[in-house]
Amino acid sequence: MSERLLEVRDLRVSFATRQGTVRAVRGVSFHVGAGEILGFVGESGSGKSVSVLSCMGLLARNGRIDGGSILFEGKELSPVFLTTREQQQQRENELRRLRGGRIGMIFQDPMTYINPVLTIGTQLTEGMRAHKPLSRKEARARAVELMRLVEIPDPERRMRQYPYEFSGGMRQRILIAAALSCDPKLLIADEPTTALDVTVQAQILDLIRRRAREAGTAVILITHDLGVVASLCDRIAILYGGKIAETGTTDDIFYRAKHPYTRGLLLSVAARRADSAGAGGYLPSISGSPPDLLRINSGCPFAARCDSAMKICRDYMPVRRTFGKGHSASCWLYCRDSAAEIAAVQDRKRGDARV
Amino acid sequence: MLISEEYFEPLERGALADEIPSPARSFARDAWARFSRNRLALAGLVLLVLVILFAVFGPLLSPYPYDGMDSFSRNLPSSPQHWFGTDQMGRDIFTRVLYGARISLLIGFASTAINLAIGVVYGGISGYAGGRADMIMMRVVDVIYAVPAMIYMILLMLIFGSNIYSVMLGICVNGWVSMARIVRSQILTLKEQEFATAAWVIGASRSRILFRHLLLNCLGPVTVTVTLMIPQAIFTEAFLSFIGIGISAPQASLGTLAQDAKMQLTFFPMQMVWPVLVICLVIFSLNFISEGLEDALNPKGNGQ
Amino acid sequence: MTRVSEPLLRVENLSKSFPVDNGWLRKKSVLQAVSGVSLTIGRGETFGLVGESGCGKSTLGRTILKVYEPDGGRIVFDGTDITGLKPQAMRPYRAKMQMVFQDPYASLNPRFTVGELITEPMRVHHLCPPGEQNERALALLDTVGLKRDHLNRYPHEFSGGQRQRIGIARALALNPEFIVCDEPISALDVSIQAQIVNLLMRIQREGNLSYLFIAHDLNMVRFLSHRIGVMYMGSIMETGEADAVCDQPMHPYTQALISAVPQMDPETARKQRRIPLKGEAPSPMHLPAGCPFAPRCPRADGICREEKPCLKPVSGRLVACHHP
Repeated sequence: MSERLLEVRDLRVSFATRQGTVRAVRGVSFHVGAGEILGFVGESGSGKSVSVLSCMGLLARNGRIDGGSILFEGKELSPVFLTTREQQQQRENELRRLRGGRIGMIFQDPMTYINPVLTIGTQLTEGMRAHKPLSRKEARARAVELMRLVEIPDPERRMRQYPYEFSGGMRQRILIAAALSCDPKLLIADEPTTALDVTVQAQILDLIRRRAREAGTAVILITHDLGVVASLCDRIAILYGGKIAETGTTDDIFYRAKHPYTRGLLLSVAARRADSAGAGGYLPSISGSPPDLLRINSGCPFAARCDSAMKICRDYMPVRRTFGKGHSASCWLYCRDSAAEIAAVQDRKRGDARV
Repeated sequence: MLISEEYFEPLERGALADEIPSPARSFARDAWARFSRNRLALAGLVLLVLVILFAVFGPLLSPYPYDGMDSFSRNLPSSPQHWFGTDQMGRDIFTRVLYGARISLLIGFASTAINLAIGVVYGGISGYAGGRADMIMMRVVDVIYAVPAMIYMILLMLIFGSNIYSVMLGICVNGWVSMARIVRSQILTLKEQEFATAAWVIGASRSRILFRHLLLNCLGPVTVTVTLMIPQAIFTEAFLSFIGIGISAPQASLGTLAQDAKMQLTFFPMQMVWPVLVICLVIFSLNFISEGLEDALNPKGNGQ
Repeated sequence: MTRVSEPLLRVENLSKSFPVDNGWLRKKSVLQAVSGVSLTIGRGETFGLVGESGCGKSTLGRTILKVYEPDGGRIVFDGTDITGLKPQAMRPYRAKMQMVFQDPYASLNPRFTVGELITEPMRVHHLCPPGEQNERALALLDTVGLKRDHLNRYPHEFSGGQRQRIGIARALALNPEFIVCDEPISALDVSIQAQIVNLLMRIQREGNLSYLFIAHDLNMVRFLSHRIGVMYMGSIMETGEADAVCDQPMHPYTQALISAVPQMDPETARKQRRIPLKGEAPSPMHLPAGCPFAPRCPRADGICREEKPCLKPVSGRLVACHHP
């Protein structure tokens, strides 16, 4: 499957905290190909960021990848198959080379990744020269070109300025320029517009879209905002409680949603477009709070908040059912007929775990 | 494994209710749980409590008065009668060390309490008032701090004589300054927090906001500073007494005991060891406690 | 105005600026956060205030509640001019004007239990005898959808949405008539936002409350407001009935803002035509002499750069533009 630039299968990530082990990602699979924009949508604690960032070796020190395979350009990046220290070290080095090189990243808060005491020009050129054999002059020329690309006016003068002289939207554009500086094959954008105003957001999203369409860069967009993915993404994965609840093309998700969580989410946001209620109705809403990952039960993580929850949802995890090319959801509503087998498998697994 | 039809009945609302898992735990209990996990800090606490108990009740149990001289039993080594031996005047060193520890701890705790009271109120008002008032109050602090503490102490000794009170006063003249600075910097950040605005919006008065809302949130840094101030005060007192301007005989603190033993250091070194050992124990244990508290009172720290 | 003859709150030409210290011996500059804003809010009405970050909408809300002392203008609440009232004289009005904050983490004192947080306003105002305060706190917990045994818990044990409910319960403790909701949902998860909005709307209906609802989510503001005001650089650019303003924006800034709101529907989103805004928002320390939007406005001409437009009635609403 050459068209799959990044392919992740059954990824599991956990964090050791004082209160216990948090299983933040529990078997997430996804893939993204050249020129494709994949949206990862979920609420806080859904595992949307961890799923993607852990693949890139960006995990907090108390986090670890427990299982799964991560293939980037056919090369295995998962640490679970590595045994010796040298191999681990090699993987770290490999990932460091990839990040900022073949994989570019954008984050929510640009100031976390921009050094406030260096000029923008220095930071852009240094990043480039760390990954590519460029002379100082070539790097500068390329930096100016990149700043033009992200529509920063007067780039020659701007190169000599410090980060505090730029607005939030400008800084985010500079971060994009930095991420694009080595022509990445894959661009990971973690809530890139959450801190920005809508008018600026539109510009940033346009930039990302153009990059994917024109340069064939694969993009993974992590966000909580359904509005952002509706306009930008080709495919969407909806995450809940560390698992993918539903995945499919943007139209699948918005017009043919199967999972009760996706439906509830869409309903609660879509209704806002309705005319001013003023004294009218209420918003349809999902009751309850997102799950506490420390005490997640064996069943469907959404069961506690689900309007269509059945008794089985509390005890057993539903399996994935496909509804057409690339569209699948994990919900007991759709795998009722094979419930006995599914439950038996899970009982056996639990029994093994206990022994 | 059989899946009965019953399994597909609707799940009752509330069967998986939106509950808070952990039992209700107050902040104090939470902090204690974190503190007691730090073994060194716990050991420090046990040690300190033991020393305090001995210092408070020990002299009552001892058969010897702290100033009772016995010219027939001078400079005795340790024995069942005199656990730590006797000094050159024939006084029981064990009794004197306990008595000295009592004085030293009294000075440590009392002067820190005074520093705490002055520092918290002064720093709190300065930080909360802000602007010009803050500027003036902090310059006053700078002036006080600019004069070396030793000068105040020697002056006070000259005026009021060498006794516990002048030592305490000497420690407090500028001891509260560091507390005031810490509280001020805390208040400066806390007062910008939204909960302070929230208190203002409900109509709370300024003093209520400062004392009920803001200072309560300084608890962590203040407690840690307190546990560092106590050993500092004990040490200052010991130092003053050791150089001969602290507490005068026949009263004894750990410092004066060390000073007394200094003359005979070459012949009877153990006379020096006992008081110094107790000083070290107290200071070590307070430092460990401070370290434990720093971790325990910071709820954001997640031990990994 | 066809609505109410005597509005609950009338704000006239309100201004607020902050001195900015540029460092030792340098000239202090002035950040003009709110410049000459007028608005009215009737009983039981929700006035939605939208605008981008830094436009002064939060400062406006806080100045109305006199968290900040206004520089100029008047705030008339329930027929009384409260602009110049000293804190002591302000206290009876504090009980009637409350606030719900954006950050449910920072706005609750972490060392107070839920019960202490909710009864604090009652203690400050001696609202009811101490014996009844707990009873009332429990009733408030019911109102906002929290459990009674949450009373002795600390805020850090709750999720963001639950904390926001605690904040709402605290605001309701004094039976207010007017609440400033300062971005109450923007820090919450999408599925929780609807819960909180529904809660706010239910409370409003039950108590005939008035809201000043500040947010940057235009869809949400439109949904729950009767009237909205669009703010840019400290001034209200356009104000009117919520649907009218959103469906047919008149001011060029409102038009650009509404065109940029992400569409929830992929079909519409693909067809969406945005009106791009050129350049960057001006610094609030050096506001242009004329219309603050003039440097970025496609319709701007000479008069826009020289004279600041005031709100004028244009087809059933007020627009601050020389060329509506």
